[in-house]
Amino acid sequence: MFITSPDPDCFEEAEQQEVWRSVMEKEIASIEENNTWELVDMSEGVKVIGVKWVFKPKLNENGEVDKFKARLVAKGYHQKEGIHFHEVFAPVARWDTIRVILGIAVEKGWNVFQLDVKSAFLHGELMEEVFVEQPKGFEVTYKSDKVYKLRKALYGLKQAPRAWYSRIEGFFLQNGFEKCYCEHTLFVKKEEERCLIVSLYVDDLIYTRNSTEMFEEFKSSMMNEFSMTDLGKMRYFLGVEVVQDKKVIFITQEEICRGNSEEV
Amino acid sequence: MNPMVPGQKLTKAGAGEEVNPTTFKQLVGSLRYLIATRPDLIYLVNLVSRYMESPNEQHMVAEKRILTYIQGTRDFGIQYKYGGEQTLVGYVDSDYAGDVDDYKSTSGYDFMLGGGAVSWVSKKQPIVTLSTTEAEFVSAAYGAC
Repeated sequence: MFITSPDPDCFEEAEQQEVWRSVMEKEIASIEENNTWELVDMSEGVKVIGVKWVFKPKLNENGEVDKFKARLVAKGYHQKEGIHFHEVFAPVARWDTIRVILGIAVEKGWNVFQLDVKSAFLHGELMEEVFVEQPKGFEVTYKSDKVYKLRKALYGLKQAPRAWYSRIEGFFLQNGFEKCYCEHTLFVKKEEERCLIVSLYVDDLIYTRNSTEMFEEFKSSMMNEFSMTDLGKMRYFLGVEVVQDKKVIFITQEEICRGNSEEV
Repeated sequence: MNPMVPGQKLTKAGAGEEVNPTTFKQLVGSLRYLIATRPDLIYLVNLVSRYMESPNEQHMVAEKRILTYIQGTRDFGIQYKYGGEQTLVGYVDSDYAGDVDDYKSTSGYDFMLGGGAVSWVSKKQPIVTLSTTEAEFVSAAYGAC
């Protein structure tokens, strides 16, 4: 695909171009499919949160445009604490934990793998009543004065990370995982000799195991619940390159060092 | 290439013209990111972070020296290897009154698993200790919990 114009800043710019129109339709379709919202009458005294479109091309490893991405985001900065949101904190894995997993994996002769949840934040279930306006370009005909009541989170909402964490935490516990009490993003499942260790970094999961069946079981139940990308062996995680072979795991940030020294 | 001038002590007062604190802090931010795979940088980054409030040329030269060191050691990382030590091994240490502005000591620890480092820290102790023994004791307690 080839495009000469820069990324659009707003809906009006994007709707001129077919590529962006089609990815916006995709985003709306995935929101609808996800059962995120329902159209309701606007009631008096209810604050409606605005939404906007954000456009970003995704680059591949060679810095070429891989695909175009349109994301519908809520203007979370209009949310009022205690009304539209309460708790917002969501834990992420510490580097120490990730490295311990690598150390354990190597000692046991296991490999480390990586999964990624698509549109993770859309899976979070909302505890609060939040209404958002209809997105530009996708107003429902004859119902343009109605608003959407959210059942699930949108990107940009204050509580979106928290809601997602609660959702996936619940999923792990239901599936027989034990949560580490001092690292809430580390989940371990043990069945006799079989063992599966999973660490969570928002929408990135890294895992290692001694039983392929146990993992396949987990993966299919996971795929059932969320849409996922299987990234195979862990190769690149949070800007760190990971090289794995049979008996050695090596981690480095060589690429980042290059960028760093160029800046200075 | 040495990442620090041997024997040189940095001070709050430093030397030379003031430098742009924002640039200095941004560099600290970039350096902190590299700590994910570089235990050899932890002491250095912790050290220059102390002078973010009002950095001057002495501090900036020290910071740039770290960058030069990184440039020559880009491919450094951590290797975990099958078949080595099967237990968790940890080390703690401390200097004594290393910070000449407040005479506090600096603690550090490193834990290793599968032949590679997994957890490391360098941190100025919160109290002024009166002997190397006491400073080491503070480090040991910090490393143990």
